[in-house]
Amino acid sequence: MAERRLSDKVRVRVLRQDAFDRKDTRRWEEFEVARGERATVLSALRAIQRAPRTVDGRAVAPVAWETPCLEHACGVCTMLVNGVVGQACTSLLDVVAPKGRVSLAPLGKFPLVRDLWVDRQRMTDDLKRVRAFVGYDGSTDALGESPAAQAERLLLASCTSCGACLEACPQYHHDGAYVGAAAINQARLVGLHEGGALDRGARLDALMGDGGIASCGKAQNCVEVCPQGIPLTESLGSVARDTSKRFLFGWLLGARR
Amino acid sequence: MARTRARRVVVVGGGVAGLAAALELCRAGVPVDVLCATSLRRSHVEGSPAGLNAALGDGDSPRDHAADALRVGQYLASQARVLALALAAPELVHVVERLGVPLQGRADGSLLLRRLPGSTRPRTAFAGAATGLELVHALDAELARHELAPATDARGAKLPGEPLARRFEHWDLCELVLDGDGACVGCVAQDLRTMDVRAFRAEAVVLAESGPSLARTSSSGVPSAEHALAVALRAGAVAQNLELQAFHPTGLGGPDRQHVLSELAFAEGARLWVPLDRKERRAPEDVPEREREHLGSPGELGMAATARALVRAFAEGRGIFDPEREVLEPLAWLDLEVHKRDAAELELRLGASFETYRALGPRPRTRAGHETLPYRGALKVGVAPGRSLGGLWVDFAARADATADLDSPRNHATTLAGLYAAGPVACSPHGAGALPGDELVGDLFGGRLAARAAAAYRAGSERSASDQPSSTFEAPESAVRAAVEKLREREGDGEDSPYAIADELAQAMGASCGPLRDDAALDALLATQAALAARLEATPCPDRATRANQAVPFMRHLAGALDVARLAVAGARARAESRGVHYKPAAPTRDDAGWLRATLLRLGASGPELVGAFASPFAERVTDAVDTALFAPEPGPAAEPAVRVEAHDEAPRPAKKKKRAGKPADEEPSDG
Repeated sequence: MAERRLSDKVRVRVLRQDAFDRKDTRRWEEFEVARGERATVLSALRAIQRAPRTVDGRAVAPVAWETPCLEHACGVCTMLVNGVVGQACTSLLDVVAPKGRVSLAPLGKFPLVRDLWVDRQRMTDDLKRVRAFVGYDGSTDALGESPAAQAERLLLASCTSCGACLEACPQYHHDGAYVGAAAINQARLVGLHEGGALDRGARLDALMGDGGIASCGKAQNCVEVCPQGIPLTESLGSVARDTSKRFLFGWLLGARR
Repeated sequence: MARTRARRVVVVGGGVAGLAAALELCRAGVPVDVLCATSLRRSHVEGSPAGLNAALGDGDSPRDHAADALRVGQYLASQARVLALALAAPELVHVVERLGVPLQGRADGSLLLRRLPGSTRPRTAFAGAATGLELVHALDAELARHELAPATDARGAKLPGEPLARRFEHWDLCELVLDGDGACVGCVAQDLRTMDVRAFRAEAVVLAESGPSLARTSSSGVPSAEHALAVALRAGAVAQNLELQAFHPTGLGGPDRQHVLSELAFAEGARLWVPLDRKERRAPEDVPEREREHLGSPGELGMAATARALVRAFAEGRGIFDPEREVLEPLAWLDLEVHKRDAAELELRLGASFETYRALGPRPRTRAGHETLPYRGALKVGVAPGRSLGGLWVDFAARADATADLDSPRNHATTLAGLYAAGPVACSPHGAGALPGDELVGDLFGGRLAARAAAAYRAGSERSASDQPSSTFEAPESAVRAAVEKLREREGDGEDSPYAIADELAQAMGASCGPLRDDAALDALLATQAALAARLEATPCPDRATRANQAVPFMRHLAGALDVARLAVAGARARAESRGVHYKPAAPTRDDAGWLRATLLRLGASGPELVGAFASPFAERVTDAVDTALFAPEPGPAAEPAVRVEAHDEAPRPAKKKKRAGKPADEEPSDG
């Protein structure tokens, strides 16, 4: 790969819109940036911010996007890079724009704030809806969890709420009821904890309700795009089994709630 | 203005300290509003993967933990405060487990502990290589639970429509609201999406935002940066030790920011070295052991000594030779010596901390393929800025016997009544360097302590923010609104951009206020900063949008960052000694007689002012004295760079010291 000569400049096409209610301002704008060593989509956006001028010489407003951490930890710079869900901070221009062109668009499954910035509020609301919290009881005793149980939770716990799984999911729509893989995985994670297990009944009821696990269409796109490599389909399967058991035998276990 | 009948406390910041404070307030039944300039799960402590220190291991004790922390902090910390943290830490680690963080354990149910640099025993509990991230997520989930619970009034009656906790994501602190007596009764903030400005009534405000970062291309994040600190300074609060900052010996560079490799690597035996030959052209694995100069594996002095060894080596013209460009770069090799160990086991323990490196890291000249790094070959690293060790001065209630009073409203109180601070916005409780693994547990402890104090202040206060006339809030609210509009519409001449000014500030700070300091350069830097501040005043706003305008908050934050940076440089200029990683060749030793004391600074009308003593809400006279009642300070490292005599004659080291050079003192003449 190092043998092939890459272009010195990269043309960045950005799908812009001034605000969620200004569909009339939706437009593509094209910028040109230098291909720096190890430069990423994030580097390109920062270069545009410093000199916001399109290729046809018009001075425009800087492109808006969300960017807290700059190092692949927080998940908010998730966007569509060449139409595919990806993170600006780790998308190397050499990889996504080998021929000197790349297009950027906001995630489509979330309400737009401006340009590449979307509102993921719904994800927080859905975590509350499926009661994805352990309910800390004030105890200060050691938990004494087995290494196997700990390893299982560690694998599920790295979700950054970036929204990639929801963007890729055919069943998820921001005005629809389905909570999607992120919330269901988080509910499973919480249920594996000693404290979270106490609230298991209420959580499973929420997951059996409208927009819960039954809405999963088993397309398995989520697990493909998760930047953290979380086994989301396993989580969906596990929650589906648990809710089925509760549906069939829940009346026997009623006292446990 | 945000309506409330619930006598709320406002917490600004949604990282570990802020969320810990919010949860502690909820536990005490105090309704809380959490303001965060980003969305809550994004707070940047996530970049802090090391783990949580607690004296849980066999033979360990909180006293030993405190002794290690004080040594690494070079005694520039309140000893009572350090001991209080060490005593609370074991319980806090169990709280973290109970909150849902998957801390790694053994088959017998006890926690697995790692030994990080600076600790004399294995003491750090961890969740993979992402403990900070897991902790923020767990705390955030718990806050969500309290958002579903109702707030109650003083008599325990539920207040309909008012949840116990409310979160305001993407709200940026702009001003504090002070009453006629100068007590803090709320704040004004702006929604960064709609650009709405509104005041929040608060019985007390707990600041738990980030510390200095925008000014330093540091490893901290971008939004909000040090703005809460700047806002408090402008309201008259006093800052402490702003000149002190952590520097990591493991900077990896990066296209958009300095990525830093976790100190976890050193827990697994990593070593740093430079070739003796200043024109070494071979790949690192081909350079034999005898032709390497080791730059001090981090020992009892933690990371600071290692970072300082690197700084010195680079200053003396050593580093890695780049044969393509024919230049010697200020970089060293970091070697995990994996040929001696099991790579799969290492991947399990360290893998997550290398993710960013693998995605974005430099392609070092090694025979091993990049995918197999860092387990084959070596990594190129340099010195990178880390978390600030200074921030707002905060009080601590120590009893006469130097033990802590954890229920006092005095803990974490700033110089303004009703204003509390915890986490990076407050002066570090760790001193001139933090023991790796103490930061997270320290934020957790500080947040809880500040919240307890704020709750006690709220309960004990005769007046309430709800008694304040609405004019108290409307005036600052309109002032902020007007300032926002003025900034947004600002025209200017020329092509100057606030982003260019920010880059220049960070560059100037990196060049002259890094670990290596020179008074003349610091004076020049003060002049540069004044020039940048003047330029910022005249810079046009690059964006005119009335919603989701990111340029307006950026310019506001940059002005604040400049204020904070000026105080930091004034502090660095004043401190005439070398302590921790901070190295002034003109005053190369730690000077306990002159400088075992805090640097207190205030933002005066004409710029930074050093403060000798001042009055706080709970003490008539606060001085810069540092207590040394519990632990006698051990002497610091001997003078640098006059080291050879010491290394050969006094150091109790075996003759093969060259193989395991542990101290910066172990300097060898280059035979290259």
